[in-house]
Amino acid sequence: MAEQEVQAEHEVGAEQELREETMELAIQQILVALDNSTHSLAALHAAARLAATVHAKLLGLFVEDINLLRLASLPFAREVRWPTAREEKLDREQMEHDLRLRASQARRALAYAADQVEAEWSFRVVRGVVSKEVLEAALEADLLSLGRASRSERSHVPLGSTARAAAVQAPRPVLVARVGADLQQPIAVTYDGSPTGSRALAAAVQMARANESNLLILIVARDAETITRLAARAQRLVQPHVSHTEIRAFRHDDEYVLAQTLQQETCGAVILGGESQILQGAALQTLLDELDCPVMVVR
Amino acid sequence: MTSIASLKPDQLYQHTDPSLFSFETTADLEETVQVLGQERAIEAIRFGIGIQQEGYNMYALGPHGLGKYTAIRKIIEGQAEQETVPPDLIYVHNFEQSHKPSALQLPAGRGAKLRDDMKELVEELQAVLPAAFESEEYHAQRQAVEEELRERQESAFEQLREQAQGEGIALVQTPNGLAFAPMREGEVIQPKEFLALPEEEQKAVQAQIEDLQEELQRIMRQVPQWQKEVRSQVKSLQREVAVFTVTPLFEELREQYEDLPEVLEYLEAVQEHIIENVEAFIEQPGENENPLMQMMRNRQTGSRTPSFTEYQVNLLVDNSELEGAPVVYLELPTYQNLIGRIEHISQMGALITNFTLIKPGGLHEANGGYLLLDARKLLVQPFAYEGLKRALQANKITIETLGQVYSMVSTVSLEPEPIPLDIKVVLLGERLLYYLLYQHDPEFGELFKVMADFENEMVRSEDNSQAYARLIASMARREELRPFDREAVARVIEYSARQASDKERLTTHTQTVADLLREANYWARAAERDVVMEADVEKAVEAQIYRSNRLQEQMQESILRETVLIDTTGEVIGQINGLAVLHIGNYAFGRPNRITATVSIGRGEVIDIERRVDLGGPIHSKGVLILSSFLAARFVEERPFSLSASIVFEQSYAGVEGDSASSTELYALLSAMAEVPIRQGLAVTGSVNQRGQVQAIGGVNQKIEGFFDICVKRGLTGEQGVLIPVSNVKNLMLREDVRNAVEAGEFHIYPVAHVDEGIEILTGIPAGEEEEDGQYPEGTINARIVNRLERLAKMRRKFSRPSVEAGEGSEEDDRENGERPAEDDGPPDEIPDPVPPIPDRVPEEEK
Repeated sequence: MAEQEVQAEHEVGAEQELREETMELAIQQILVALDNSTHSLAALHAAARLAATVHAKLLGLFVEDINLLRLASLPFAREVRWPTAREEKLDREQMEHDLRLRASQARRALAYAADQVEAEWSFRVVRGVVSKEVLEAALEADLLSLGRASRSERSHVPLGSTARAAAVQAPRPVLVARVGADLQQPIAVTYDGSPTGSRALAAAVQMARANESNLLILIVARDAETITRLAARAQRLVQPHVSHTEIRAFRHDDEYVLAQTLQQETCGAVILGGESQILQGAALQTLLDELDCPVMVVR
Repeated sequence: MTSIASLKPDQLYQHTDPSLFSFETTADLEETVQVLGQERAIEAIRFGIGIQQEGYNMYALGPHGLGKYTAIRKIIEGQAEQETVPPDLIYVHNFEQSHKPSALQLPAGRGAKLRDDMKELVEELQAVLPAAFESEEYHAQRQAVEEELRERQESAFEQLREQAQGEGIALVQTPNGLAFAPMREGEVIQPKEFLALPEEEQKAVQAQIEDLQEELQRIMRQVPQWQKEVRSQVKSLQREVAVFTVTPLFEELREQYEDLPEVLEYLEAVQEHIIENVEAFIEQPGENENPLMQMMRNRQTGSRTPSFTEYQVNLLVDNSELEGAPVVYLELPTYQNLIGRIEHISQMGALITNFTLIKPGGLHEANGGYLLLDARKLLVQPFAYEGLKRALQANKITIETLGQVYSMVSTVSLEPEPIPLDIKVVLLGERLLYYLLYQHDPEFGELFKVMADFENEMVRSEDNSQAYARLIASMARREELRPFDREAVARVIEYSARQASDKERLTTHTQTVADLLREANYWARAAERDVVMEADVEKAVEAQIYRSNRLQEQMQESILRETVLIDTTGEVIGQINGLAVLHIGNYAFGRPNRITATVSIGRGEVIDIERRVDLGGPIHSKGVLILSSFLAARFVEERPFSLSASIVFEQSYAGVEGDSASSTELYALLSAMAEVPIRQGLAVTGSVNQRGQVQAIGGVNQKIEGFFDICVKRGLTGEQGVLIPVSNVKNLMLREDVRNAVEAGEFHIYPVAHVDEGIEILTGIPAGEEEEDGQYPEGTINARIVNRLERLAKMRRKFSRPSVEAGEGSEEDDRENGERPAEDDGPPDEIPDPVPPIPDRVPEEEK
């Protein structure tokens, strides 16, 4: 009984962080990490739609990879090119030129996407280790949106190192986008009643509104009673804002099963939030690896 | 008066006695008669149908309106009913050579079935195949194959990455590929740092990196091969699933067509094609691509259209409704309507086609049966006759566009497989066309060996009159007319005889008779009668004439008002009334025409003025030459022909053709030569031969009536009449008013066998028979002519004497030398100048 009260207080506290009546997270600035890969452009697209819904500003970031510049400065530096396997000499000057060019392309893509949704935007180029720079920049924003990997392939690609670092370490909600996903498909969100879960629910509501999609709430709990309670609560919170909502229960404690369940239920985005074990640490990484769709991790 | 008797009224018309018929009205006659008097043609058609050898196609000869089509159709349909129904014809896609669609023949009714079955099959496949490929099992297997590739790739790169990492080297992704770089504390070494390393260490690192790069290149080069292997595995998997899914559907179909090996072969090809191209069923059009893009892609790659057209069946000929062999009449026998055509559709500005756009021609539809064509219509359509012959000669139908045939168009089109042709073609047309084709087209005789010659007339026997009544009854029934009573039927038969211009014949031109029946029915209805009576038929005949005779009345009026000069009373030398027939449309009428002859001293010429001014046709000229020869034979044998005569059709401004006025012209000449007047109350028709015999002519009824009408309007004197050849008496079917006038003795019709009889009637003076001494009895026409000729010869000799005395160069001298005078370039209608005998006789007489 005492435990339930503590839980209830906790939930009330969490709600206070939200604008409860509108189920909105305070998202005013969205950082988009751009590297011109198709996945990062998908991240830009998703961020732009969201920005239009919540009237947020888009902050574009292009990181000139310091490792590439160092590599290009080495006297023996050579690259093996895709897909011909031809070997080419690298030099710093050319690399810098390439990076500037890519930054310029990224800027244009951002400008176009922002114009389309009439969102404010800014763009900057920094030089450094990519993941580190992205994480640092994320601190300035309310949401970080980035591509799954820098390789532009449509098929399943492993989570890139920057996306992995951001999803696991970033102190802000992170949207890991991928090309080819249809955000108008139902959006799935995990909800375990925790403050993080509530924020995830709010983020899911915002995504659903941004993309005019349905919402699937997966109640992550072990006992039927909690499931019923949380389901009722989720229903109450979400109902005024999303026209079509479906609520399902998830009783397992296995990230693979969760990944499989989510994969079967939706082709749209997945919002992960909460303090359940399966959404933490290595389990979260596994989940990110397994899910072949856009994923938002909410903290 | 003349010894030649005029005809009696009963010789002017052959009535049909209504009591001959036992019925009250034609409603009592149930037997259907569609054709009469065409035994020869019907026999020929039956022969043509029965004989199975090549080239025994038929040509039905006869003018339009004889009922050829009805007769032939009836006979052929009777035969066709007993014959087997020919197979259905379909065109299907040729999976080996797509531009040569394959033709299949299936038992009647099964073509449509196969078409529907194939449509259903494709619909079913469109549902079943995507389902099979959407199944979890398929996806799992496909994913496994693809995952294997991914893992293989990733594992190869990962191993390399790990190997490099073990050596302190990172695999770095560059904007264009991959590269290796030595690492320090998780980052790529600073160049300064690297350069600070001992040279040997630098070299060692470089060597390591080179090895790693080589390995990386090796892996990257393997990737396409791995992808190919995966594609191949995916393809085999697809094939496996497709075979598994498709086979049961085809098995079911095969069972239904197991008796048709060609269809089984086709189904086999379809199945194999579907299995090979299963992606088309999986990737539904419009799924990921807009239709325009897909169309563009299809055009570029030449691949399938999204409608699975190649699995459709083009049912060209569906004989499922037939009961027997087909009998087809092609209304518009153009090349394409005959041979078939390949249509095109416009797609993005280009005209494209496929086997479903092959359309059948009359030959396809009538294959295995009979095709009826109007010869004239066929011949006026460009290339149609040639196309028909080509098909009949080759015994197959090859659909080619005219552009292909004549190499005018070289764009790629279809070459549908030719279809074996087994057909009897019946051409229906005029006699002239048949003879022209036979004469000028050697292939015609080989291809249309059977001539079905339709009669224009039939004998007017009692039996035939009975049969004619049944024909009238059948027509009335078919046309839903009121029944005809027996008097009306008799009148129709009389009309038929008049149409045949022969009291002993009936016309077989059923269209004319049918028109009369319809019109008589109209008048019966107007008179509110339930039965068509004789009066209605009479009214119909009168109304027909009235509708057509505006011009005739105009001409008569111009005679009555003496704009055109025709005398119907009195006597005039060298002037006679000839009779002509004018045909305007389907109406013919007669009118008198004044012919005059003048005689003067001359050299034996008979000048045909019509000929001189090119208004006389060749037959007319022939007539004039014949009468000239008659004169020469009769009068010039033993005496000179020292006159010049000229003959003319007065007030004739159009051409004159025919020889029916030759006796008339002769009478005018004889009158002029004998200086004996001709009775103007008489008109004459008839041609003459060199012996003076008067021969039959056409349109005798119209001619008599034409003169009669003028005489009636001026008032009959009892002295008027017409001279006709005796051989035309059988052709007389004269109007009732003419018959009545003859009966009353107010008008006369004289049958004439010889011009001597005719001249006697016309002049009241006998012609005179030649006596033993070569002379003619005094006072006769011939005697007067001889006397005149002799007088003229004397005068001529008298006039020519001074030139003889003058010596050389005279005309007479030239002639004696056997040469014609230089100015003698006259027409060939001159009588050969009999000058050589003149010196022998005339000088003696003069002595």
